[in-house]
Amino acid sequence: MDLQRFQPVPREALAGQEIPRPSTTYWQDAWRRLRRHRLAMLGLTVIVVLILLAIFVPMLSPYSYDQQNLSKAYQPPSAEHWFGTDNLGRDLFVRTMFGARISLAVGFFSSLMAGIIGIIYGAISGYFGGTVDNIMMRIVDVIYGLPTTLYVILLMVVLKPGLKTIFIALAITSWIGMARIVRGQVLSLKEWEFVLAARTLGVPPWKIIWRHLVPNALGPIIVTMTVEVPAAIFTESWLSFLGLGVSAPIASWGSLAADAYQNLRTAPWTLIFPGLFISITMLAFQFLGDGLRDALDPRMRK
Amino acid sequence: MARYVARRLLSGILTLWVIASLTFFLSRAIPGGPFDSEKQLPPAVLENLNKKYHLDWPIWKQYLDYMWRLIKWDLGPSFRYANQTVNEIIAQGFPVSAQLGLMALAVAVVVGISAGIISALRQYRWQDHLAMTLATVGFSVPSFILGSILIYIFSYRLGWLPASRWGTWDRAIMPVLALSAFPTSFIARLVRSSMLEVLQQDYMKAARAKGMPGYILIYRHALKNAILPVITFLGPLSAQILTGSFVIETIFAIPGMGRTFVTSIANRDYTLIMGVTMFYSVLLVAANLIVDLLYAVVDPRIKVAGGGE
Repeated sequence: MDLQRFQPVPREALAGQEIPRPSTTYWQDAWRRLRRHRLAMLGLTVIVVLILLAIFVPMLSPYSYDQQNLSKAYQPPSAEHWFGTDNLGRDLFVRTMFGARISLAVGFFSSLMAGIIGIIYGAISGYFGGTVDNIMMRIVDVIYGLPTTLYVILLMVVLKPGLKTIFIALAITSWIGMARIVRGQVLSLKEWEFVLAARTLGVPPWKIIWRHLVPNALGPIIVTMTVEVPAAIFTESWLSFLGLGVSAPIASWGSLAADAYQNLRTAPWTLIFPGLFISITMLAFQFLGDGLRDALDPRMRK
Repeated sequence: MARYVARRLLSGILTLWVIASLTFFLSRAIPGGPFDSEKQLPPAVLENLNKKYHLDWPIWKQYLDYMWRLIKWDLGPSFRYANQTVNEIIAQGFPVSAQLGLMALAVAVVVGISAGIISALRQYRWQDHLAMTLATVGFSVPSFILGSILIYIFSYRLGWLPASRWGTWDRAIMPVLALSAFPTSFIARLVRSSMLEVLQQDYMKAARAKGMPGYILIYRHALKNAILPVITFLGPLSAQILTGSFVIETIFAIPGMGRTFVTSIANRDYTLIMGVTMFYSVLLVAANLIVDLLYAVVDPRIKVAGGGE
């Protein structure tokens, strides 16, 4: 090749061609969109406040969640006991916040397990396709045919009622929805050229899944995980309300509501506060989920 | 279409088989036998009881026997309620639960769809804001909280409505309201968003340009298309109402199957738990199947795709 036939481009000719601002990554863009979503930010704030309350109130309060004082049973809300006391004279403010610990822990744990199991299951099913996919998805279909609450109840019957059992039961049942969504994402993503390129270069399947497919599906994954948190909190409180969840003296919002229901006529305030906290939490996660859906994956909008 | 039906049917039967096996093996895995109670039974009595319920058979024989009786829909005797079979207990409780469930279903569909249409047609006006605020509340307040609040206000404070039992109209109001709040909210939001989408379509503009009167336009062109997502939701909706009835029947002391199920769990009444679970499963699998078929009939595009994935 004759180098004489080329000549350098003068620097001035490049002026106006460089990108004037640093490029925005997908995540910066998503964060900007989320910040503009007022309800989502409200939800996020509520969740953060709730987490802080759940951590610090039981630590700092003069009362403990199981400390009884029968001479002070059924006290309505006052300066001393902000949320009043229950039938055994226990401080309901501390108990409600202790319940927040349980509920939030159940919610986040279940969401995490749904993420881990669902991503692995869905990605394998979607990536390998064919018979593997067929069998794996038939299994999911069969489980999906019935509501998870029914499975959870069956498990709660066998295992001893208690917090550990709730964790196990929710972990076993929560991943189905996630597996379906990840599988759908992987199924369409794996047809892209960058996957073909990776495969041609000899990248092993698990690395393609982990480095190329899952990161590209993170948007829907995060949205699904966010939605899973209130769903699990709801299931836990529902089970505890029926007496299948946490056992006394541990408090969860559901068991507090169940206790309150027994004494509803004399002490209505015992119901108001756990009820309020469950509802606010549901609302906050719902708002955050909506916001994340709009921010992370415009295609999922409906 | 026939292949689609067959595949759905097969998947439904598989679900039932899995749940049947699961209930069987789980109930056998429960620590402590069904006759463990405060008073110790003499060993001879225990042996006779085990013999009567075939608990002395090897596990595979029990399983086959169980499956065979399931096919004949003989759910066996209850362990706790002497002289009553599970079939009888279901026959007693189910009519009550069915009444409650169908009423809640009707309320959810009728109120939900109407509210969704009104909000979509009056978007961003007070009707829309009111409906969507109510829907958001209905979405986030659990039914057991809502039910308890209703009892406190209307029974304990105002004394207008009875708080428990079943049989008259005034007893049905609060349970139906509490049970239908969540699905109503869900349907209202669903219809609103799909209606808004449909209203922007070109064929709506064309129909309006032809001079078609508003209500025919809404009914014939908009509503029919906007309602499709509701049909897909009918399957999860029936599951929703079914599991919701456990709590609602417990709160309002309604003698239905949901309450029986909850007490049977507390009583460790194996056969009753298994039987009711199987009954619910058959019900839900059938509901899902009907909804899938209905959808294929209503939406012709499904048949072309041939799958419904």
